[in-house]
Amino acid sequence: MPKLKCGIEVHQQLDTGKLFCRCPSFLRDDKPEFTVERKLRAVASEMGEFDAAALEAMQKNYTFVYEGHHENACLTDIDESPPMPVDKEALRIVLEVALLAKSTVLDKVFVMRKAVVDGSNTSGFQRTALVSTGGSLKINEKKSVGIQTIALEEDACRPSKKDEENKRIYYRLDRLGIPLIELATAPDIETPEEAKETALAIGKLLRITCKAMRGLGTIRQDLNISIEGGARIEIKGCQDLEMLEELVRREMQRQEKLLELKKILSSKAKPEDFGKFEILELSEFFKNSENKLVKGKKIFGARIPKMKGLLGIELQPGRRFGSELSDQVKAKAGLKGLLHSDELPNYGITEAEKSRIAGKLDIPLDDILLPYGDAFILVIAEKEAAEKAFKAISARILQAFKGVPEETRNALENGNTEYSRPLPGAARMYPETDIASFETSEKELSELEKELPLWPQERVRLYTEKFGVSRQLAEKMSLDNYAIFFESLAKKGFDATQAAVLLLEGLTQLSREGINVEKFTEQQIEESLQLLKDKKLTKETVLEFLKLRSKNQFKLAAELLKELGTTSVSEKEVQKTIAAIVAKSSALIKEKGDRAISALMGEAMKELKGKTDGATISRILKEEIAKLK
Amino acid sequence: MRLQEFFQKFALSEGNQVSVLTKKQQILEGTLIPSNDEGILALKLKNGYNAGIKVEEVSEIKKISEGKTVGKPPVKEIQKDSKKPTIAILHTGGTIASRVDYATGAVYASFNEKDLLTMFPELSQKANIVSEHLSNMWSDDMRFAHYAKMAKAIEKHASSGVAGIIIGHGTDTLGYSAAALAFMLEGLNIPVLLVGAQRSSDRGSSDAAMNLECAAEFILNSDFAGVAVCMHDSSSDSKCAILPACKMRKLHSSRRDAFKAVNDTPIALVDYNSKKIDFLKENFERKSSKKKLVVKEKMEDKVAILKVHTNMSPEQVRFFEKQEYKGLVIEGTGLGQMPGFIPDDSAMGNKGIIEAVESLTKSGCVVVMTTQCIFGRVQMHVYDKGVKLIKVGVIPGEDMLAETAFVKLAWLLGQYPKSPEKVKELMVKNLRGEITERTNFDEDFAKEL
Repeated sequence: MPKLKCGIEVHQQLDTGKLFCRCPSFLRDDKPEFTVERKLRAVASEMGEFDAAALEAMQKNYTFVYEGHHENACLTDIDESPPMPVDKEALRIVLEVALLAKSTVLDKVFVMRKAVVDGSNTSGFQRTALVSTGGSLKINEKKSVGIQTIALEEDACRPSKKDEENKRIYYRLDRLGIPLIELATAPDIETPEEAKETALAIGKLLRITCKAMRGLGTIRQDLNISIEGGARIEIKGCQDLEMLEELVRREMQRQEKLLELKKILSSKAKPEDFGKFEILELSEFFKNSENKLVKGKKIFGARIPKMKGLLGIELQPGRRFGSELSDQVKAKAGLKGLLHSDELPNYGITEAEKSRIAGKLDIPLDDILLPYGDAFILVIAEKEAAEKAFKAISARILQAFKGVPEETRNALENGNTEYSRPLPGAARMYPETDIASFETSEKELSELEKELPLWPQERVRLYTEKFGVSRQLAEKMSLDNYAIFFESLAKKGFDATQAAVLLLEGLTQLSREGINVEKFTEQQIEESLQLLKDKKLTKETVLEFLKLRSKNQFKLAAELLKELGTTSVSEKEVQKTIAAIVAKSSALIKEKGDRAISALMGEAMKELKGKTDGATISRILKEEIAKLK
Repeated sequence: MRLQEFFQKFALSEGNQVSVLTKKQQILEGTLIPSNDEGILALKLKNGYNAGIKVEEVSEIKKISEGKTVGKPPVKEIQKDSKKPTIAILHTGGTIASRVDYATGAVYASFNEKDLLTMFPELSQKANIVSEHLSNMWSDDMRFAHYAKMAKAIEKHASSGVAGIIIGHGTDTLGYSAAALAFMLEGLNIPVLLVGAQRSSDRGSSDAAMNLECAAEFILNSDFAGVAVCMHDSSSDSKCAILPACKMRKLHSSRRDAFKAVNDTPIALVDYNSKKIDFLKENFERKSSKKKLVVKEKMEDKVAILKVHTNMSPEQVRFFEKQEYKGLVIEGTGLGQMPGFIPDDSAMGNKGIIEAVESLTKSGCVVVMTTQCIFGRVQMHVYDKGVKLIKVGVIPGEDMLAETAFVKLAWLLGQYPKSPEKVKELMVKNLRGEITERTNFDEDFAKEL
């Protein structure tokens, strides 16, 4: 196996408020309440030049449509108000993680703007701040992996849909601004297995803060991979931990194969062979083709000298060198792909047609038969795009002479990767002048140090030995986001087992019944445990109480208990009873006007005692009296 | 140790590439950048992040190289096209012409036409651009002399035959400048549009380009002649509003569509995508061969605005008499009121306020009442307080914005320094669209979102 150098960058969403505004962090999939349309412009770099990718994006002239709801997207999210200071809780969590990983916190932290041109940030940049450098993390019994940097940054908008015809890209604002911890390891990972172990260890580290969001899309991994003689490749967007090993393995394979290709290529061809191709229009060959893909289309082709057999070299399972060229054609010329002679006859193109095209492109028939002769490539495109496509093909083949080109690649579902863009440079970072840089004091850090979250095994020991909780419950609780809250409850003298059962099983049951348990505040949960302790609730009624609480955020516990103790009747019945009282007292109402309310209220309360609450009675009573007038 | 001494001790300067070892054994490599804190060494790291280290925490520092100095970005050469009309762009400063120095993070302004066209290449497709740098300032530092300077520059460019003029301006006091230019430029026969930006030009989401492009579009494709403002009509990058110079105001501290017509409607909307111009008004000033530009730039300095509030004292009014002010705009409450009555013992502090106003008007100061409600008209006959104020010489300012009334008053006093009666007469007469006789009913006059 070749020598591997690999680092992981983990992005984990934090379950706190948004980083630079005071919006809550949660997603909503229902119909948006508002939309805002924007264009983004390429901004000249520090050298006064426009970034090629940014300019390309601008020339496509996309309109970005941002969809949002008022409760979780504010003026700051739509880039209409300057950012607010960093969310204190998010900052505390990232400092805790830095301390846990023995990473050195910077004396002064600067918030930066990282230019982003795909529209996923309304401002045109992502705000990010480097918080600490260095540190290490144990990934198994024998090995520790170094940590390079820990940063705190804002998440981007959620892609919603793309309307290519009208050049409109839709984004959801809900995810924009949710805090992310970005933890990047040193390139210390030496095997695919270690990559997975490292990701697991980082995940565990982040989870013990109890503020790591859970669920699909809340954690994303990027990989930095190179093998000896290869080059640094950044693989973006791996959401599935199970895929990590395979991604690393397949990238190693790709780089090995590209190094082999380099050897073969250098032995039989020179870079000059690929400087420029002669492009010919070949549409006439396909005028009457049986294949819809090519029939009647504009098709251009060119002879690619000495590449026969090489275009078909498999780099990753199912992906050939031709696929790499195809990626380039997609990215640089906006085409759907290409056809090359190594994969023909296929796609409805017959052996005979292949030979005729070869003839037209001056490829000797012998070459078609011999290994390592000339090859050809076809693209379905207008002339201008075809020219761009062959320019991109030429550039990629020239890179193959050098081996592996440095680039950013996207993870595909099966563990393969495809080209996405050049590696971003440091130049795209510039200071966020709207936010003051801030210092982290020694005092603050040493106070945090005293109360760092416990590691899972420490938790299990504490819960079983000190709190007297069963091992099974303790293990489950040690990995739960309620762990720290649970510890505080146990320390306050609540029955630890009762608390653990409520947090782990009770809330799950309520959730299954359709109650949004995430909306419960810690105070509300503590309140129900207190009532349980005071014997005002039983194990059976505590969940019923929480159900009521979920619908009545502001009522007093006593009121809810009262409601719980009675069988409440429907509002219609209440209304019927009150209507009867009002009807028989119409004379009194006429005489006393609104002052009659208090007299009737007493009567209604007596009749409806325990069946509904006073506020409802008072409201309906007023409504009924109003009807009389 | 202070940063300066530290730099001297190790023979360092900003821009140097250094390697730092801290007492916490942290190793950081990067470029020294300016620090706004004397105790902090600021570095731009190789990965692009900035980081700060306390000077006393530095254990070792090594200079790796001198580093490269970051010069001004290269600019594009522009070809003049004799077939295209010319637009003059005058710069006064503000967010619209700012750009970040990536090495230091400082914002600097670009003014010359090459810089401008490097930033906004679309402009040169429509017209030849000439450009002049008048000042580089935050707009709240502007004084009447700056309005005169702008008016003179407009006169110069207008006489050279440009199709129109765009003035890049900070947004905070853009309304004052627009009103001042409207009064100063009598018989203006080209469009002069004030354009600002609420998001600086160095960010991808800046509103500067769209505001400039829509302004150019309006200049080239309408028969409007006069002063107006071109800014975003909504939060979306879809349309710009062309707003009447004397009847619009910044109504939001940060939104792109902060500028709205008040007691009036926009003159037109310019669609950014289709470039279509949709006129919302018909009675605007148009180009005419009869017009001849006369610049009347004189303004009286001794003019002020007094915002009424509860718990005022007569001294606040007397100040203007003592300081010999020639004009005062009172931003009154509601229909044009201010404290001055004594309904009970607790209100004794109001005693003497109206007398102070009377004394002020008698001293020769022209006092005009507007409303701090922003929207609506003063009507001082509705309550006896208003009647009383009129009796002591206060002039009701109709539906003028306080800022417009202030500029107009200073301008009239500059034009007729010897004749306060003339000033009073013209103050309530519409000269540049600053007063309307009737106000349209607008269902959602100040509704956001």
